[in-house]
Amino acid sequence: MTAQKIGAIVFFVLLAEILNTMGQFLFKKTANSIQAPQLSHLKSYGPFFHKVLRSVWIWLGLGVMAVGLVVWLAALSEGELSFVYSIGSLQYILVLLTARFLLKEKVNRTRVIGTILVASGIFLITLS
Amino acid sequence: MSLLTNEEIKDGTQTQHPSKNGAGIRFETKIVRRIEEIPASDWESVYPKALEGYRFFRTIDDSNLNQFSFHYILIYQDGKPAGAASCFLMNYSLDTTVQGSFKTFTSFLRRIFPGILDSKTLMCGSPIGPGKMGVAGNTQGVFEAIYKAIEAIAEKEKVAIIAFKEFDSSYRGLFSSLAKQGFHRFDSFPNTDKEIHFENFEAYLKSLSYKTRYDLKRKFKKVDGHVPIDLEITHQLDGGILEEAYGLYRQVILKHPVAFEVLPKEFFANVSKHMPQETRFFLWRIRGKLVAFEFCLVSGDYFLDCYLGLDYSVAYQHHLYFVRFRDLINWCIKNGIRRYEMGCTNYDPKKRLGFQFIPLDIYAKHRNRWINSFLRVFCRFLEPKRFDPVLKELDRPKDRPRKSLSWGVFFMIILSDAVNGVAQVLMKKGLPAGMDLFSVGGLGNFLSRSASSELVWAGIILYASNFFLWMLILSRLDLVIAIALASTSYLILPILSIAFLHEKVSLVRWAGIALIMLGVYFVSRSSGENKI
Repeated sequence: MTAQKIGAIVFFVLLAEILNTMGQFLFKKTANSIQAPQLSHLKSYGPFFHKVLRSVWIWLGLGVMAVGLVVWLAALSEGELSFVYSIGSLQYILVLLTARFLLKEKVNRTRVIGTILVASGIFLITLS
Repeated sequence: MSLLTNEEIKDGTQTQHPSKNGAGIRFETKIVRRIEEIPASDWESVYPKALEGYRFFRTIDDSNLNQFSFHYILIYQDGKPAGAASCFLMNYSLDTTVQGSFKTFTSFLRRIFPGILDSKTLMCGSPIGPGKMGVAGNTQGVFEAIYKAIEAIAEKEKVAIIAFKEFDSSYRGLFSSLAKQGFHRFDSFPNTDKEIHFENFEAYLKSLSYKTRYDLKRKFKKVDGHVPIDLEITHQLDGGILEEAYGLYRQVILKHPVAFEVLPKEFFANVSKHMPQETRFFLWRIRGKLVAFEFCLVSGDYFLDCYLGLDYSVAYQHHLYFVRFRDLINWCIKNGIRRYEMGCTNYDPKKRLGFQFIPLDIYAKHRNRWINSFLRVFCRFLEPKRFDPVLKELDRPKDRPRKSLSWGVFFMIILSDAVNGVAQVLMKKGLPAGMDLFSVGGLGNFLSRSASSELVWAGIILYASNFFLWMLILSRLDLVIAIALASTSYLILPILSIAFLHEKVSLVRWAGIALIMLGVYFVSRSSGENKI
């Protein structure tokens, strides 16, 4: 692989990650604004999904995710599988930042450590 | 500054010790072993007005509750009573509130290591009912003085755990300084009470849910006119009747898995002596035989339902629990009672009968600093609401489901991972490989060739259905947690290949699996952290 190609793949993967995180952000934002259903009551799923599907943000999120998926596939078809996946573990850091600053979720030490452990575990698995 | 010396407390006599706090206010502390050594007027001028007050403590003092050893603390500020608190020493089993399989575990633990779960404990409050404390004037200063006295008793008695037992949330402000002393706050069993504002029992029934109302009416119909149940109300129990009633009380205690205090027979005799105005015994008889009894305290429009006794050989058959309750409500309505308070435990019928639950807090610390930090984690598992299905449900109101990790949500994540995995495999198989994507034409070509593959479309459909699952998960969990937990998908493939393909897994891969599992454990553990 040439340096230029590696750079291009890294760029594609990162772009896919950012798009994917944006989609997740929009999903979560919508989920937060809707009353959560009771897991054990199938009937309460109806109104929940009804509201989900009527949300503009969800469709925007799906669009962003779809673009992200295409970019990701493009990267996959170009680069080594393990290489592409291992850079993929960076997404956990992006999600952590999004949750902390955009969703105002509680990000304490336990969660940061846990997320970093997961990300590094995935890095190891995909690299080998 | 020296506090009370050992001999002073040991005597159980009056101890006076002037102490000064930062503001230069003089406090005198008096600790006695029997409340009658304090003048009633001094105690009652600061202690909250309650049925369980001075005379109630006198009853307890006289009744030989051997499992508890009492201390009463009175604080004087400039010669005037400013603080009053009761506390008692006991051997508290850490698993008192535990039920079910956890109880089996703790009793197993107790067999192997006797004494490990029993600690000498100094409890502030009352062994019977919610805790109360009287503070007047400079409340924080008075509370500090009370706390110093408690510490002194703990030091003298070599106590392991100090606790403030079952104080309602109005004490949170006063007790806020306890956190600095290393105390943890836990939920205890809630107290229960009900406003009585009904014209008759029929009106009360109307306030209940349809199902409960129907159920109660059916029960009463079975009993009324068929079983002659007579009710007698007295202020005291003598001789044979006391014996009989106490037997019924024992039956209830034995039946109940969580019993904090077991009162001796003398208590029921002494209470009529010390509180003749307030004491009421309700006695239910069937053909002369005592089948149920209730010990209650009454003051003005306030009714405290303290102890129940039932003859279980006939109780269920004749629905005595509910027949008794109807008589009590009727009595309350007739006597102008506005507030009916019932104790803790046995929440299911109380909830159905329309009682509201008042949360109570326990503040506890172990005096060994290292054990104390362990206690914080451990006690979370001992909180009673974990073991009571009714309390668990209360914690999660219908319109606002609990936002934390449950097995249901975890299962959904695993399912979502699996669907995702299948979708990915389909995509990988269906996608054209080795194409030039870095030109507009190449990308277009790639897209059109992908779109013509059925496998790719099947993958896309799976992805789409996964979206619904994922939204359900997101409605329950924080994004950080959901994403981290979803990483278990990286474990599915290696685990499957190990289990079915007997593939050799490299050391690096094992390390990766271990890291992910550890990370998932950390993140999922943090999902329930919404306490103090």
